[in-house]
Amino acid sequence: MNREQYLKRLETCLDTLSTEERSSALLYYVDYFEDAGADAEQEVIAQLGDPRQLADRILEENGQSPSAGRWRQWLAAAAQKWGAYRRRRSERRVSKSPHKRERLRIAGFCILFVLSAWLLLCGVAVVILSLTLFSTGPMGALFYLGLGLFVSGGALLALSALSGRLPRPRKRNTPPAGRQTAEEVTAHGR
Amino acid sequence: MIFQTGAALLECCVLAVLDREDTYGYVLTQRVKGVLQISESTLYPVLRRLQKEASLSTYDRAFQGRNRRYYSITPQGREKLQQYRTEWEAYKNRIDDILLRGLCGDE
Repeated sequence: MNREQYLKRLETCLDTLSTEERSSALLYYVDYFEDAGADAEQEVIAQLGDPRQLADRILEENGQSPSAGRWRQWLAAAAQKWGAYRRRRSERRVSKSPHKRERLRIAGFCILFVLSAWLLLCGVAVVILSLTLFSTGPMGALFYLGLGLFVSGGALLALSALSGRLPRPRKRNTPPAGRQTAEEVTAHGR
Repeated sequence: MIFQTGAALLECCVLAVLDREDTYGYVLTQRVKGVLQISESTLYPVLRRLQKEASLSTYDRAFQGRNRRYYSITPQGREKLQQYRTEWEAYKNRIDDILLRGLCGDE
């Protein structure tokens, strides 16, 4: 990255600022590069650091959220909400019927497994079919070959992912959350 | 340096440098860097903040075919610097008391 690229990048990261604020900041750093001298260009870039982080400091000073952070913050908030939802859901489910949940898991697994196996078969069939098509039209055959390979590849991926999470016949430990509530209930009863 | 440099300390160093003479961003950064371990990217927001609260003013002066922006301390900035000096004296004495003279609180 050279000086022009650095300043350009900085300008892009500051695009939410008012024109006055942005040009003031840019002028400062243009001056800074000029006064440091052309020989020190790379040194200055290294010292100033990532233009986005530099921009974030200026944005924060202007009471704006960091440019890079906005998406990340949103994602983090969404992930947190999802996690809380999952936890609440699993607690409720466990306290209700752990066996029913296990059975549902196995049923879902079986359905997915059969579906993927079926897809794999279809994919392989299309590949074989495409091989017989080569004599009539190579373009069409190539298309079907690609399609077949794509489908069987996807099915294989799904199968391997499924086999990774094979439901084991072992008895699941009741999570401490469920047990705690039970204890609380008995304590209350006394 | 193991002691962290907060925003206030940075502000008063900038004001103190500018109290001696007007100067531009690069030299200002080098002067402050000579005293405090700061990254080159920390100074602009401080300057801008001081400028907005009218502790600093700026003017452009032609230099080698371009305009260079100079920073200058205002009377308001001098007042602020004086407050910082008083505050620093008191703070320094309290820390010296406990750190160098072994005194504590009301002694």
